[in-house]
Amino acid sequence: MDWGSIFEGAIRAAFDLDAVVFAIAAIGLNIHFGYTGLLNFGQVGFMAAGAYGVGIATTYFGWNPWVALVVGILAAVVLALILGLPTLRLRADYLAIVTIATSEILRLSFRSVSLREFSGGSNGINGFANAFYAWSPFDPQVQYGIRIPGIDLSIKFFGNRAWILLIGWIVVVALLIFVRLAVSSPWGRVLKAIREDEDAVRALGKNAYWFKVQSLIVGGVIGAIGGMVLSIGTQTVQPDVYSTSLTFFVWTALILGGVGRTWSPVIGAMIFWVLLSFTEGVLRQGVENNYLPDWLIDGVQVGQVRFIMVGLGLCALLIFRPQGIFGDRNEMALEDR
Amino acid sequence: MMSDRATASLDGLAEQPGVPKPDPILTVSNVSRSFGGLKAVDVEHLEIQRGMITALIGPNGAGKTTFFNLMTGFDQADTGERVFNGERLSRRAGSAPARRAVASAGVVTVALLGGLVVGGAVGQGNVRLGQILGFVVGLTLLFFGNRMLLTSPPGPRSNAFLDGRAARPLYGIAGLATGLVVSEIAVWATHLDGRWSTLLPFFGTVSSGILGFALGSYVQGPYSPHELAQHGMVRTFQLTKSLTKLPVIQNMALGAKGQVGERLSRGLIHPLWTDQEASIEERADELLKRFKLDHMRNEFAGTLSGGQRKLLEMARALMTDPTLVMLDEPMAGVNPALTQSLLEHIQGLRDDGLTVVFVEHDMDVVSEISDWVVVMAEGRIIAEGPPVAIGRNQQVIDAYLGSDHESNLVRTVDGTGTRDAPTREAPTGDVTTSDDTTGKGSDGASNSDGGV
Ligand SMILES: Nc1ncnc2c1ncn2[C@@H]1O[C@H](COP(=O)(O)OP(=O)(O)O)[C@@H](O)[C@H]1O
Ligand SMILES: [Mg+2]
Repeated sequence: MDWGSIFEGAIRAAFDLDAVVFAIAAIGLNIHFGYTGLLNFGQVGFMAAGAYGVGIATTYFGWNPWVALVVGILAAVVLALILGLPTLRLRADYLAIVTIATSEILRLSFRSVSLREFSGGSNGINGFANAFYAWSPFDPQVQYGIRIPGIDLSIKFFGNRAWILLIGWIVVVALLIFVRLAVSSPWGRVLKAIREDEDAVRALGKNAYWFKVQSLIVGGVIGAIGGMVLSIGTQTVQPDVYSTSLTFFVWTALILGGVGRTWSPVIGAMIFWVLLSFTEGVLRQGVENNYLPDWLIDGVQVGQVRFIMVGLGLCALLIFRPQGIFGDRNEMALEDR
Repeated sequence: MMSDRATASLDGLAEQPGVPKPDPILTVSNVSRSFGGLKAVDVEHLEIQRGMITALIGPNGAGKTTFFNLMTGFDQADTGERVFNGERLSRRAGSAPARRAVASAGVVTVALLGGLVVGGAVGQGNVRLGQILGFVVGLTLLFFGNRMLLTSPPGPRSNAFLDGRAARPLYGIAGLATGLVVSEIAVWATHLDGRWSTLLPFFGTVSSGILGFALGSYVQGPYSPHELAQHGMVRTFQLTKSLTKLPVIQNMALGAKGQVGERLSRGLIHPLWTDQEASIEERADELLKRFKLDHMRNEFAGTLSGGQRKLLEMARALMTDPTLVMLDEPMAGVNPALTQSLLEHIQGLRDDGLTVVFVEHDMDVVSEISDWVVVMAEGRIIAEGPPVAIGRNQQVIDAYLGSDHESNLVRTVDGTGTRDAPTREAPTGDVTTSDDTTGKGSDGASNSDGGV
């Protein structure tokens, strides 16, 4: 087995596009769930709002990319208002139901035939990201990488990918600073208090409803930014990418890292993709080198089996470390008496 | 002395349910709330005297907690009025801003619809010109209408249009009209044609109508708990609500009103609120010291004992600078030593000029600290009066005997029966305590000296 290439693949996955996108989306979800206790099972809907907002604004309306970014963010704000205003007065589970349903409605609408001129139907929107790459200082034909002295790794990305990754990770850092500042402020204190007990917050004269709406908007906009990075990075918006399973993978990344910690969604997203890449690498090489018999698993099944293995690993994590990798077990144990 | 003076003002009041008080902070009338067939609360009239400790007693299931929920906006009464601090606070619609808003909606509607008709005629068939004219006229009327309403004093009872009971339909229609005109103008300005020239006005009108309707429902609706809390009515819960994963000091700081940093845009820029935060924490530390929780300052609230959580909840409520404090069974589950200090705190609140209403089962406790006792049974107020009198009240004894055989009845009857002399002594004990706490007591003492 070529362990070198397996490890290289895994480290590469920690920094590649999927990890950035998951990190951003999970940062948003962390605001919802980690700090406010909102059950948003439709984070992918916000990602789609961002991605389609940019895509439709640039292709259908032909607006300039900066305006398109603003459109993507506004789309997420509107979506948050539509989802939040009616449901956030009700019990927490209503938001969960409505968000999961709405994200599916969005996907099905975007891929529908009648909206094809808008959103491109099942083909999605393509070739809208050129303007973003026009700003790239990197040569698309050249591979770029970071050399760590003393270690022989060849983790390199072509110019365009290097550009979106650079932007993406800068966005991640900026968002982390934003979250840090926000949750350590009195605003963040109200969110955390709502997570603990909404009625206590209301009894103290805070409009808990409005704070929840704000939280949904802020986390949703961050999710939309994740969707924008994904669509620009892949240079396409495909409706079926924005399916419910993406929401749950983002949740997985968040819980893996540990909820309610500033950094943990990022680490969770990186670990999630490292694990997937690593198990895939091991399985694939095992099949190719006939360490694993064909009757057990063949090359086509590797993609699915790795999810099974990661799933089992997550179950183990939840049993042995329910607070996530960076969560505080003592804090988890503080329940109402 | 403080309590002497306070009770003195209630001396000679008829000991009957619903008796008017000289200076009520909270007045409720005809408040009822049913759960299915069960009428949990049915209070004809009740006034809570300002600056006093009123005890609300009654057997389990009497409706005390439900009554608290109704008073603090956590539950909505089927009927009834609530006047707090001289303000009618039953529906948002009664408030001045809501009245203005409703009137504006009415004016806009009339102007828009009128403008459509009149403008259509004046514009000689040019409907769009008419609509724009109507809109301009509507906005002008709106402006002057608001000015007029602002200057006219609010009456205690006005008609449905002015006090907001008609808000929902009015806002709905105003929304529809506004949506129609605005989207028609948009179609005209952008030279849209084809399918969208009909779809846009349709969606615009419908969504704007829904928005108007929702806004109207809000204006017409009852006050939320947080609005009442902002008015100075704060409560604690029978089942303590401590924010377990926040440190004690953060629990306290949350209660402070008017925090700059609670707006996200300001909160992000820490220098804008750190000064305010420091003064909030200073106040919180003082309260924590008073409630003997200062050693737990930086611990998670979840690490406190049950009794300490009761204390924390009370201290946190005080951070909101309330005028009326409603405590639902503050002594439940608190050990006797803590009970004594809780009682002192409650008396301290009264001496600071706050009004306290608290639910309690133990008649000893009630007669020790309360100035006035209100008795509920099966949702109704069956008696009220000073503690001594309530203990002798046959109806009250029956209520406890009738529905709640084991817990308090014997003590109630016993306690009041044998406590005739001790209760007379209680005020004397009060005097010494308030003399001890010279800082707080002196104000009241000098006042009552003057009075005497
Ligand atoms: N949310 C509710 N749904 C149905 N019944 C309720 C509800 N809240 C209270 N009740 C009923 O109303 C009555 C009064 O309850 P409560 O106000 O809690 O009494 P207390 O606080 O005086 O012990 C009880 O019979 C109770 O079962
Ligand atoms: Mg109760």
